[in-house]
Amino acid sequence: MAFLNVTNCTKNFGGLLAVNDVTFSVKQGELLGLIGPNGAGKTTMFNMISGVYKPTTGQIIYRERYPIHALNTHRICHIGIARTYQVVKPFLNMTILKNVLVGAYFGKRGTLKKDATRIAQEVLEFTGLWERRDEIAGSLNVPSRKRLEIARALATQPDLLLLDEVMAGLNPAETQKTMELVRQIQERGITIIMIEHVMQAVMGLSERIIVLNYGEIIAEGTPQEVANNPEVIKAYLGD
Amino acid sequence: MKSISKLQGLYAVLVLLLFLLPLFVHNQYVIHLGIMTFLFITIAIGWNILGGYTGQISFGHASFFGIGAYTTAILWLRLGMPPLLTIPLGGLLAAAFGVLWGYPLLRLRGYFFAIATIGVGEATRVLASFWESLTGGSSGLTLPVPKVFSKVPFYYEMLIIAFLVFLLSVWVYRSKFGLGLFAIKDDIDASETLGINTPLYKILALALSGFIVGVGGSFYAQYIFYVEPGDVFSFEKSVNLILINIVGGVGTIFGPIFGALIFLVLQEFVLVLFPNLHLLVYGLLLVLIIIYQPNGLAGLIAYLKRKMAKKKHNRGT
Repeated sequence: MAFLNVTNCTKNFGGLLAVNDVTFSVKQGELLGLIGPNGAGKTTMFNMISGVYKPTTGQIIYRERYPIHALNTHRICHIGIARTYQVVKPFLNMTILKNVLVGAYFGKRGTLKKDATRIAQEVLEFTGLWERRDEIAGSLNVPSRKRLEIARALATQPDLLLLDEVMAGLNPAETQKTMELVRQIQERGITIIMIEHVMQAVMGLSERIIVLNYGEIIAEGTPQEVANNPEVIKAYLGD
Repeated sequence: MKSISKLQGLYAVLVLLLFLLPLFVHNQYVIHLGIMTFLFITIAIGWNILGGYTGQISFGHASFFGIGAYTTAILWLRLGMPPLLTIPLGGLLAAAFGVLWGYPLLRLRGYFFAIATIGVGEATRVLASFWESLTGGSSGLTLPVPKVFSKVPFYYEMLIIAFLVFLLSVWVYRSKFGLGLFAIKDDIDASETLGINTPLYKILALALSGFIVGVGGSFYAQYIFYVEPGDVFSFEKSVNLILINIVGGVGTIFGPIFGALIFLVLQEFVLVLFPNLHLLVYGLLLVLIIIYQPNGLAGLIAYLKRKMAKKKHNRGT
């Protein structure tokens, strides 16, 4: 039984074919890497899975019963899919705690204040932000904002987490810490799809990798298989 | 903890003084100023819920004020309803009107929404001016003035409304609903991704905002005994609500109160001393605030409070 089924998905922006007839599925509990050159359609794929865009054609089915392509974005969050944005979108005027509280409060329907507060604290401790909870998000540097982005997504208590380039712009030490965090998230039983350009991270973490180029899947397999695939090498390095 | 209870005590004394004021002050002009202040505080809070909390700037809130005023005028004049009973109806009708135009227009973002609300406000005014059979046209409707007239009951009526509306705004500020509104203001895409039903929240904020301003309009009609589209639906009224909030502090709890106080003081005193100059003074104040204290007077007070706390802290260590 597949956890997430993407079937013949196409997204067309005017004349630009961002994602072209893509089909893949995700198993529960796995960590899937999504890679490809810039403009390959990776983020567009995330936008469709999280409901920000509707596919032009094709369907996305979650847990074999939820038609993602027909649901509103907030509804998709309620059924257990969370995402981070590549260009992070913190609530700049709120503290770290309030940012995470928004996710905890609204991520599932009918969450009460005491539960939201408990979830927020738990997530902040897990991500190592608890000590800094009263800092205003607008005053944080990029690595901290990236961490907050993950914390806020986790606060919605997802079963499927979409991570869009959470390592980009981090130094090697921070990358190591974030990789460790991603591993721990997976250990909690959360299924992860990860877009990443930092090869060390995506090769080290993913069990399976899908390579997109010009909106189409050109390779799929274990990190080893993908790294040795001539199509992939060609896409990244040219002929 | 101690300082908080001290502050609460101060608020309680202030409110009590306001309730006792008519017992000591018999000057009708002062009572009138009190009534107008409470009215402007109320409708400014109404605007703040949509514009300040949710970040959806409206230039059309006079439409709610006018609908509230005309609801009262028409129900009172044509159906003989007791004016006090028309207050909730004025609010509800304004809220319903908000839902009607908010449903299509709230899809617009930022400046586009703001510009569209100008259209709503003006269209409503023009409609009220030409729908003579219902509204009496641009000459307005005159309401029956009672033979014995005292401003004091109106004073209490408006004070209680303003007080309740203020409590409501504090509740919203601290509630889950309010957290959702402030999230929408900061980043609507992130809000939606984190599970907030943003179209619903925005329309609820608009309806609540419209309700409050409608209540204000309804009161205004029964206090002034005259409604006219050029007054209750005026663009100036919409703009004033924005100015009051900017001066007081957009999106803060006390901003509309500070703003309304300053606005009325300027309007009444500067207007008397230097006719035509009061707008200049107001404009100057506005420019200074936008440059030096974009969070208005409430932001300035919060800043001073932080600074004082820091000083105290430094002295302590």
